[in-house]
Amino acid sequence: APSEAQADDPVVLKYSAVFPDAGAQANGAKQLGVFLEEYSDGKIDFQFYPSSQLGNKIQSLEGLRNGSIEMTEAAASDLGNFSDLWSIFSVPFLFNSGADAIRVITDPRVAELLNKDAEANGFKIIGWWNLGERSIINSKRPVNTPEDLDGIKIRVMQSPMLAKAITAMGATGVPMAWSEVYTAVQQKTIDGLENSPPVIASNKMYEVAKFYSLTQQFIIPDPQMISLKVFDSLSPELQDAILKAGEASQEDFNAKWEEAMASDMQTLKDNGVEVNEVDKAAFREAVQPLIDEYLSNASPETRELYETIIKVRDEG
Amino acid sequence: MIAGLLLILLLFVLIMIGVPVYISLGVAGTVGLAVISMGQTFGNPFIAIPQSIYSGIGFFPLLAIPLFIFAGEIMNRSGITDRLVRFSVMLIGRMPASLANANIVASMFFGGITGSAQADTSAIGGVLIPAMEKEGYSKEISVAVTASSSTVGPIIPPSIMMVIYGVSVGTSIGALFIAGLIPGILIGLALIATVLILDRKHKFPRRTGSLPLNEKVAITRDAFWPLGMPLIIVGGILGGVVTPTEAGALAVLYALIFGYLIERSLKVADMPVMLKHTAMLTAAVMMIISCAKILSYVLTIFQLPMMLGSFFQTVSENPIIFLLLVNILLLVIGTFMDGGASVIIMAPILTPIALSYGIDPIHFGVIMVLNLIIGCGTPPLGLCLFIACGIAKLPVEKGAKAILPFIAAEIFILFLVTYIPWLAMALPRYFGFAS
Amino acid sequence: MASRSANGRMTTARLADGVIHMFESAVCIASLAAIVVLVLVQVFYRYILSSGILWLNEVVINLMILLVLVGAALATRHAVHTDLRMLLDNTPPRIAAILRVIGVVATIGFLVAMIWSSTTYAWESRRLTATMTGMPLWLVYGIMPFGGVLILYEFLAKLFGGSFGRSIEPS
Ligand code: NA
Ligand code: NA
Repeated sequence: APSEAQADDPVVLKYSAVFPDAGAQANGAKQLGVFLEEYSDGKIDFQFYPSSQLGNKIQSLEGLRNGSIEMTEAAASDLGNFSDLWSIFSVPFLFNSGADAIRVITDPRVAELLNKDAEANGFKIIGWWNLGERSIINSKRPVNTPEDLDGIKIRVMQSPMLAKAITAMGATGVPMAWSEVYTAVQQKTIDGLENSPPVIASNKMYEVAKFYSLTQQFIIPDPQMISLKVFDSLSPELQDAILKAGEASQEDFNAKWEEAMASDMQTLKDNGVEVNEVDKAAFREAVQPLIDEYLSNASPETRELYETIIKVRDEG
Repeated sequence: MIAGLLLILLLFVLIMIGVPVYISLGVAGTVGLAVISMGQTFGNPFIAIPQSIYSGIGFFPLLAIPLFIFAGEIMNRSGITDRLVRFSVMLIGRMPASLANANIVASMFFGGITGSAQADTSAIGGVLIPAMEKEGYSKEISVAVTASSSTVGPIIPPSIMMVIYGVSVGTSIGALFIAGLIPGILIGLALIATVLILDRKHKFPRRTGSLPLNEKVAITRDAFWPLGMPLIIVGGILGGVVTPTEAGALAVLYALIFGYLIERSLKVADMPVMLKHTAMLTAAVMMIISCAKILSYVLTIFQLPMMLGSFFQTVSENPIIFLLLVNILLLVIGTFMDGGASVIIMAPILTPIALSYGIDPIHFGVIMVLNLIIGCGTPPLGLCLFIACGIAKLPVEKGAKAILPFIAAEIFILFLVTYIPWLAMALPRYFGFAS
Repeated sequence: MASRSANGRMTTARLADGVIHMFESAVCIASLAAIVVLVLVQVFYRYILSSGILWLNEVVINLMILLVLVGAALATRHAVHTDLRMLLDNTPPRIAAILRVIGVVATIGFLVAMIWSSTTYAWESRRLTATMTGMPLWLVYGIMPFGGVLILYEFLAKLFGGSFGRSIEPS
């Protein structure tokens, strides 16, 4: 039961993140904290826990459902661990660009479907961060078409769709822990990986792989979330402050992201990485059977979301 | 802050009164969660218990641990210890304090096969402590040499503690393995130097005879297969053929081929025994990791890492002073606590601070493991010392006194490795593991 | 009559204890053997066939959870867990007895907390499935309370050896 002392104490919101205490995402989280404390007149005490200090992504999300961790962020596809709907973000070539993905998912028609499902699982989304487009970098050759990926071993994430898409694009998918990837490419255990320019730059992958091909197969934005259990137990004023802070964070982060993206792309080029555009239509065609199979197995809700996303996307 | 320190005190008290280390960690963590549940909380903080246990075990690179334990178990049961000991005795020859020095050299070879110091103590100690006593060494010196030299096990690759460090800070385990090679050899050399210095006063027994050539050839041939294993592990990782987990699996395969096809000293009936023993040793290590994660979670929420970080920052901006303080802190912790648990709790706290001082995480990992492993030879929780004293039937107090000069030598090497990063970083850099 | 029924209970208890021991051993042996084989298969796939098996990591990890939790019970039975007996052995018997009781209470307390919290955890995940294999998560998480119960059993059996039909073995 809340006592008098507690009524005066600021509400502690622990923000759990897997990314380290430096870089665009850490700055974004800290800025979110500034917005939260400012808009709540200091009634919120934002505590930032980077580097998986409070657990990995799944643990943090479980913490939000439970209420023991108040806030976190995750790739939208990570919510697929709790509800099938979110596997949609693993569909390759779903959006035209990271920035356009934000436009599509914050469109009221799409947002309504996403928010409803998130809240049914205990997550309240307060904003969306654009984390750009994931493309393939490898140490062997520039990639233009699916044929160029033949025999190239690419590290894939532990998710069926994300892994199968890389294989469908023509490469050999190798699941591997992120911490071993740099060494594995250096040692030629694998030939490359797929990620966005800021991640590739900050992990110095340009030292071991020199061909970055803008395949842009995955565009997976990060929802900023608060535990619904926590949110519902707060006063309307605090709820309002949190929603406003989330909106401000979305605008602030996404603007800064575009700058970071440009400068990190330059970093790659400065370090001798050859960047090339690809024949995207050929890759789209290569993964189409996978997408068809996915949709035929998907729930009616997921198909509805897919169609709404495509509709909103093609309007833009 | 105070709550966090009280929990650590509770942990030490529980360990001291004989509660298994993993349970002690779990109790301290659970009490902390109870404290959290009494403050502002919207959910059930005890969810951290199953989460920590699951994530403490369920991470692919951690699989290297049972695989290396299993490989060591098979090699050990195939009778490699005798061969390595004979080979080491041959190498040392007529050097003063021959058998004491052979003990150290044998541990360095054995370290290339086993990932844990305790395994080394029981295997080499089981053979060499009685042999040393028979040659006229005192129980004290036999115990001191055995316990101190077995600490090279987790420094020379493979190493369970390096796996735990690599997993908890997200650094390449292969790079850490390679980084431990030179420091491990240096520790061995420092221990040999210590024996030689002590020999001036004590005049340890010295072997005088020389082996005939054909016997030397036979001994070398016998040691050929056991010594191939470290080559497979280190070579496989260096050559980029395999990840550490896969290197562990190949080591198991190699050991099985050796034990069942080459040496043929193993029977089919040995298999379940070895599997069961490995399972229990694995469980003992992994439960400690898991329960340490519960406590680590609680200490994080109590903001202990943050406060420790700002403490270091206020004391000094100089990395030399920082490393000095870290060494003192870890040496103390290492004597009280299990090495793996210490890594789980301290690595996430200290490594980000080390990074902010510009220290490479691989170098820092070697410093950390060296520090904590030295504690294995000292009371109150010095498992290697206990095992060695148990073999020799010597009271621990006497062993603890005799081991002091060796501990001093290890601390000397620790400081060399701390302040000359090249010693740890040269090999990983040369092979392209680090920039 | 009374002693015969007591004997009967002893035999049943000893039999049950033996079955539990065999079960634990079998689970540990089988899961470790499977882990080794699967990782070798993975090496083979990656280097000889130049491809990967996507579900393999997840299966191996879950086998590892089983290995460790059941192995922890086995390690309790055979006194393999790291602990520090030395100090207690050098303490006056009366004080040592009190300290032992504190230790027993703490151990049981933690094991009960672990069983309870991990049961809740498994229950709350009852509708979820593992990412790659689609295995129900309650089954995976349920290994923890299951292992916890086995550890508690082994701890109590060691403590009250006789009533579990066990001869007190030196550890
Ligand atoms: Na080793
Ligand atoms: Na030795």
